Amino acid sequence: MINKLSAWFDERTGWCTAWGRFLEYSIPGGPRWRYTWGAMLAFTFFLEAVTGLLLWAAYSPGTQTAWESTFFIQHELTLGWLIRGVHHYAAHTLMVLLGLHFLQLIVYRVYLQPREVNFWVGLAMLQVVMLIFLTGFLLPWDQYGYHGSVARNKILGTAPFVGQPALTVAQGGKIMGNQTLTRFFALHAGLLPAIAIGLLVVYSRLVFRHGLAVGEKTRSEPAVRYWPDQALRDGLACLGVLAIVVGLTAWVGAPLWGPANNVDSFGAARPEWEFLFLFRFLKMEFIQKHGVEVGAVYIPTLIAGVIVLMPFIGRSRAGHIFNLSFLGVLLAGMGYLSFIAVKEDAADLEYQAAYHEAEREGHRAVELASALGIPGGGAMELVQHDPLFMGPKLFARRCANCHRLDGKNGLGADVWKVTFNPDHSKNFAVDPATAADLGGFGSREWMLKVLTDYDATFEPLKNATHNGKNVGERFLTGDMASWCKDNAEVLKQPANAASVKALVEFLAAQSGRKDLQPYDAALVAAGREVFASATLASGSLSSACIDCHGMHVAGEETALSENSGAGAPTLTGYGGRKWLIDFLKQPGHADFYGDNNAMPSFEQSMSPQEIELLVDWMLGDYYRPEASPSKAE
Amino acid sequence: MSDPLDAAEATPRRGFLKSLATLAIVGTAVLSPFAAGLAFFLDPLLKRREPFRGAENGFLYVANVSQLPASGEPVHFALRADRVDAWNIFRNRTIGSVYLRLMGPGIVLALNDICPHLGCKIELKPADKTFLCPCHGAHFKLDGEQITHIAPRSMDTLLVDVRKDGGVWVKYQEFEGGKTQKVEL
Ligand code: FES
Repeated sequence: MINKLSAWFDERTGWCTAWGRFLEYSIPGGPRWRYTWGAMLAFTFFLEAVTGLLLWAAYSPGTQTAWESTFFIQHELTLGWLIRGVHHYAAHTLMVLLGLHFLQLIVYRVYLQPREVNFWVGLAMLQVVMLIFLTGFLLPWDQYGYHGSVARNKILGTAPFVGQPALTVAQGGKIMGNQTLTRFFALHAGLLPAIAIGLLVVYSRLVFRHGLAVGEKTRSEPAVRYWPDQALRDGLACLGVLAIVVGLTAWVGAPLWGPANNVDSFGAARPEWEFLFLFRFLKMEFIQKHGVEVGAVYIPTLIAGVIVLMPFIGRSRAGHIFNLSFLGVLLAGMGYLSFIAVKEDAADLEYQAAYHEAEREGHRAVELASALGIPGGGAMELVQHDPLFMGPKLFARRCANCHRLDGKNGLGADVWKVTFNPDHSKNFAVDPATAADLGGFGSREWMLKVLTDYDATFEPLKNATHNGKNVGERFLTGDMASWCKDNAEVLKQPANAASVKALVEFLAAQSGRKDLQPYDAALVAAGREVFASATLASGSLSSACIDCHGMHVAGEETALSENSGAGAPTLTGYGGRKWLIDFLKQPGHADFYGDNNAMPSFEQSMSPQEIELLVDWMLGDYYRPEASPSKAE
Repeated sequence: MSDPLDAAEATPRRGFLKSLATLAIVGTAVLSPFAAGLAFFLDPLLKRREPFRGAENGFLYVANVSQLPASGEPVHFALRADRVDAWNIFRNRTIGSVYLRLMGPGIVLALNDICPHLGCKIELKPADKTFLCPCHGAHFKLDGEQITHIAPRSMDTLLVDVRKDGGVWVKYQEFEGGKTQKVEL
């Protein structure tokens, strides 16, 4: 019955016969592991096609939808992380397999007559796959994809004559944007795969036409059918590929960095590891002399030219040796360049810091998108309004020239003085702070530290200079410093611990900060007494806080005290949102440091929104995920 | 038999014309989508679309001279305008950024912070008094002149207009990367 059916079908299509012929295909010398390469390549390509089509069904090219839909695939859709991960790692696998395949072809001289055309078709396929690979990395529109593509596209632009027009067409304009994504997507998922499949058809026809390339010795051995021995090996090899790809997906996962930001510098920009050698190559001394296009276009074209001619060169024994040495030098060079690129990055503290910052931003973007959802304006709108995303960056850029945050620059890195050596390596000297460390600013601990350890808190100010003159000393010798010195003993007396605690509570309460709540009302009231009267449980302070500082407790009709105007900051709302914003805008205002001030005003150099983001971050006012056992990824 | 096909075969001249006409017809049918498609695809070369709107004769307000230190230390500023990206317009967005330096009373130097090598954003290294690109390490003096030759040219200067009220206006432009000459994009 089955036979009859298949006979009927075969008569009309010829498929069964063809399938039979394929299975009967005899392999000279019997099955080999070495022969599984074609199957692995085809399988990896197949994986890319399947996962690619699935991703296509969920992805949306556009500057406000690309990162967003990729995020949705990765973190929300059922098994999205798996599909995307497999697509990502199979792409790398495909590059590696293709590269190794070409190595085999050259080492075993498979390109010899009559297989020259196979070799060229294969090379063309390699090029197309490489383009699919490169266009694909832009599509998530994340920091890595975006900044990698900026440089890559500009490389294309350096090609003589056609470079810039080709770049403009590929990008859909002079700069990258919506049209770049739509075009790269059309190339990545449509045109280039169509070409690759066309080439694959031609290639496999040629392979079948010429048969497997085997040496004389193998040819003399008995041939064995493809089915089942070689098929089994092929199947196992493919399963191996699948295991590796799924393994990498499960353990590492496809990366999704923060949404592309074309405004700030991105110090962690690097190409995918396969192309790291090219990145380092462009830094070479002689490339510098001859121009980017020499390193990025001419030399690669020359190398490609030699490889294209290899089937002819390799005809003679000497030619084969030339081919092998050429390849050896090429590989050694690539390996060496990749190695030093990694080594240099490992020694570059700024690169490391930029990398960690990129990771931090990526995590925060995903955290926000997961918890709050992405507004119509896209993920950039989301992160640019987030104090925790923006605050540390602003601190590092604006404040860390002088201040530190727990000894660091706000992003967890040291602040360095960077200098350069003639060989372009960098020296890093940790730059001493010239203003207070703002770690824990406004907290109860902070208040206590200022009161009882004023010198240590403001010690960095002794390094503060402006136009060669010291401008910080006055803080260390001023009224507050002497007051702290005079009262140090009283304040530290165990009998006065409660009074001091109360004063601290009163001061901390002025900010009204949410993250310090609840305030102890009884303590606040007691602290208010100390603030106004200078009387402690045992003894009293040399002068009361109100003697110098202005204070108007929130909700009360009359002020407790007016500002003395002698550079003692008003403590009304001290450390709170409004106080900090006003302070950042004009630290030299009479309500703050007055003539004593040494801090620049940020009224003009930061936008109101930037100041608010910085302040909200310092005050801990931003979205935090519920302190639940952190859900995996 | 007088089958028309046979007749055509019989007179070689008519047969030739017929083949020619067929080729023309099929060719037109098959190639016309490609011709239109080519124009569609090459649109970015055929039409110039301004990347942003809101400049006054090409100049954008950046800062006030009073914000620039007399020491000549460069200060980084973002430029804001309405970014146009294909079908989108983003109001009041950062469209680029520049370093401004006070060179003398009322004289301001503006440097685009896009690296003339391959387009990364150049960073200021105050301790070393230089600019450094974090990508391939192109290194520049504070006036934009290159120290290493990784980039094919020095940093790109931009036209500056310092107005009476101290407003510093800059003509924001971007240039092709990787080229010795400064070619506007
Ligand atoms: S992009 Fe600046 S050095 Fe390469």
